[in-house]
Amino acid sequence: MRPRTVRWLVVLGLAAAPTACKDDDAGGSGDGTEGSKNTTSDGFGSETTSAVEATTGVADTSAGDTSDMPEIEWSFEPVFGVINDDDDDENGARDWLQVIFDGEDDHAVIPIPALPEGHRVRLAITGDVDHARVWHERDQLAVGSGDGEVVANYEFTPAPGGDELQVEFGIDNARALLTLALDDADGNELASADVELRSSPMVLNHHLQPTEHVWVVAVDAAWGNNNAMIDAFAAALGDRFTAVPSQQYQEDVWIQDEIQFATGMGSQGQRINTVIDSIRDRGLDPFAEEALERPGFNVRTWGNPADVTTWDSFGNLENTPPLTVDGVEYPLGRIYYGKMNNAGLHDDLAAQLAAQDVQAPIERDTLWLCVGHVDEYESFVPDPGSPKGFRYVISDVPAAWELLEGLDPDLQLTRFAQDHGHATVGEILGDVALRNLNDDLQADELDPLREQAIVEWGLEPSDIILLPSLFEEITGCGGDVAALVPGMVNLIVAPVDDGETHVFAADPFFRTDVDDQASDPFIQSFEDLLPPSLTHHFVDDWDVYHLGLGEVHCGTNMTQTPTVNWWETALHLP
Amino acid sequence: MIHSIPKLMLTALAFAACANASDESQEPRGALEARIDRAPASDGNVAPTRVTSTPAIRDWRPWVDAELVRLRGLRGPWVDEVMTLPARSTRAGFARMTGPLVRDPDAAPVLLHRLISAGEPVEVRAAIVDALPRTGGDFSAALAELIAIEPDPRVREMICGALQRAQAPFANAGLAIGLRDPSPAVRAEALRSLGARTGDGTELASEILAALGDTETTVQIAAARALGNLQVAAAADALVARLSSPDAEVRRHSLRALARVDPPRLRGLPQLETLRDDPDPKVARLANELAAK
Repeated sequence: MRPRTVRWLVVLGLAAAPTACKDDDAGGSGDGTEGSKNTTSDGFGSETTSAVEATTGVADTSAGDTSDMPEIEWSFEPVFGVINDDDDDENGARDWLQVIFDGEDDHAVIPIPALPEGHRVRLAITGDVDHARVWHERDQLAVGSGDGEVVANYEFTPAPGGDELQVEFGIDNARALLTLALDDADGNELASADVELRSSPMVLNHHLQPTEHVWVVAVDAAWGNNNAMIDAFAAALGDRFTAVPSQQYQEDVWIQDEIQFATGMGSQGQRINTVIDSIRDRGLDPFAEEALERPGFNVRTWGNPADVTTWDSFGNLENTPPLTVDGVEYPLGRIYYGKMNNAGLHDDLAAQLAAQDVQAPIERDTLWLCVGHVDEYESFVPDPGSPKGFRYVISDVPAAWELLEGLDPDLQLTRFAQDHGHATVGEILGDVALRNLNDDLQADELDPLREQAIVEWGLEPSDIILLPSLFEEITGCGGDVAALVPGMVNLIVAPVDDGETHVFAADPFFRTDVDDQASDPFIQSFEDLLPPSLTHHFVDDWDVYHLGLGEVHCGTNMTQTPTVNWWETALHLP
Repeated sequence: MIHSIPKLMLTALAFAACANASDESQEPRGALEARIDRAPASDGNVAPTRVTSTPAIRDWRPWVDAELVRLRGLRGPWVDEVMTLPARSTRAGFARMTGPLVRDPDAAPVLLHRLISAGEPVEVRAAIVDALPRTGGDFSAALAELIAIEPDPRVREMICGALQRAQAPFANAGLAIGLRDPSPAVRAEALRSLGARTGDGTELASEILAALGDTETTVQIAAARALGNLQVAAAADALVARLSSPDAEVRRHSLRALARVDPPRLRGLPQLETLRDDPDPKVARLANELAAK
């Protein structure tokens, strides 16, 4: 729902008679280059409408002969900008804390039409005034957040031929109201317009958005290497892919967990990329600052590292594709993360995500998992052939039993023999404790999670792919579990601009000949279940990720192209 | 922990003495020699499947020493690599040893040497223990003995986990010690391992049943699960009593265990009806599911 813009058509009459005298204590030099300001700490009501109210003392421009008078429309589009939290001049300071400089590209512009000589404009701002400001003449603060104080009012004489204001925001999803009043040379108010100022919410990406760039930490160590996985990504993605040297980051391969990309988009083409830097702070902690922070990319953190838990890693922070739930559209998807009974994603970050209004986060129960991340059991893949354009993929134990029971029980499982203690399919099927464990997980955890997904995300059974999956208890994890068969649901989707959508998932190695993927029943099942439009890559993540209690998604991260104009589609939220 | 070591050591030695009575548990030297010429899998590929079927070595300390000498002579650089293999960080945060160096039965004596040598920090020793079953080599008698003298509870917890894949009689010998450990995490891990040993876990059925009365709920839960897996019929009364536990997870796992131990009795229990309205949704869900059967 687009906000309403009420236009005032003002016929500017040089001879128009004032109907009221205006208090001129606001002053102003009237030279067209300087303004004046008053300070206040005015609050902001809940109204954010851009409707324009007539102010007392508006000139009656319909009276008299106006045929020679220029017509001008005193109306302004709502301003949908972005947080200015990057460092475009790379001087080490947030741009929000600086006056405007050449190269700054995160401001929104309000054009002021050319006005007859002597006409003046008065500005007033209310609302989130600590986090929004309006500049005049680029370097003159007009209203909003100033240097330790809030400027509430400003008056200026526009430059001949037209002028412009620049709007800047200091936080995501800031909301303010700017009033522009037009006075004639005698101080009579001719018109007034209210303009909604709003900064973009910080929006998390989802799996349907085009991939811009992918990062994987390349490791070649005695404890394992991911050379084959690196090669697969490089071959499929070309220059969209960067292998990060592991030595630089203490061989911390869990790049999904360290950072989360988000974007803010402005209606005038602005784009700000936010790198949410986890309080996890393991080897990859400096990666965001060293490799990603640059003009257009800001790095921010929520939460205190002293409070960190496993749930503060961003394999535990995901977002659905666009949804409609009970008639409510979520064009930017809905955020989900593991949190239950006060155990989960840090409250500070959870509050920030909720405060964005447009992605309605839900909490998922991940307490049963050793690592505890949502990417261990559920994901989404694009499916152009489905009604919703995507399919929801969730781990499913009965599907795994059904798959295994159709196999030769004597089938040798080369990689499972030593690393998991199951040499054949029959050994897995005959392991009573393993069967009980997985059946219990399905009943206690996966079934309720699937049911919650249906309700909260408005899914139909036909939207859901039940992916064969088995889990095992991990020693030292208090009875909690991780994937026994490499978690293929823990995948990464990379739609690229040639129309191809790559899916990278763990090679399950559920076979005798480790080099023969064609003989793998889990791969066959995966290919049969997932949409045919996807290009699959089953990569060897065994030593580096699987035995490290993660899979492919955990070892990757990516930037993606925003595809939805939130100001056109998401203003009905919350 | 310190005060209990002498008693536990005696227990361990007693088990070791029992093991010594069986000459069949000594690995033939010929078999050891046959493993010598296996090339290390240094290219990252997985070596061919080797099911853990090597007989347990009861006199493990001299075996470790001898193996180390032998392997240094035959695979010196490989031994050095195993000796310096780092414990990498898992996604969960704790350390693990992974990779082709571990997937080799010859790695077992080398890792045991590292384990008992001074100088390795706790997280590395815990990772070594965790890796031992993945070698495919023998570690059974060693861990059954070491659990009694290991000072750090995290390492003892990992020992209990590793003993799940150890050979009889050493596995249960070590796990019996684990059940008496002062650390609830160790006791719970011992119960999980016993519950997974459906072949011989019932040898300690009375100890597992006793653990259902442990002061720690994590231990009670692990005990209930183990009793269910092992289908210890004698546990039914105790499991019924746990259905009124103030802890929801204890109620849930006791209910499920009872369904496995004595399904007819469960169906007639008035508590089953009560639990259908349990304030915990998982308990209520399970009770309704069982009542509908």
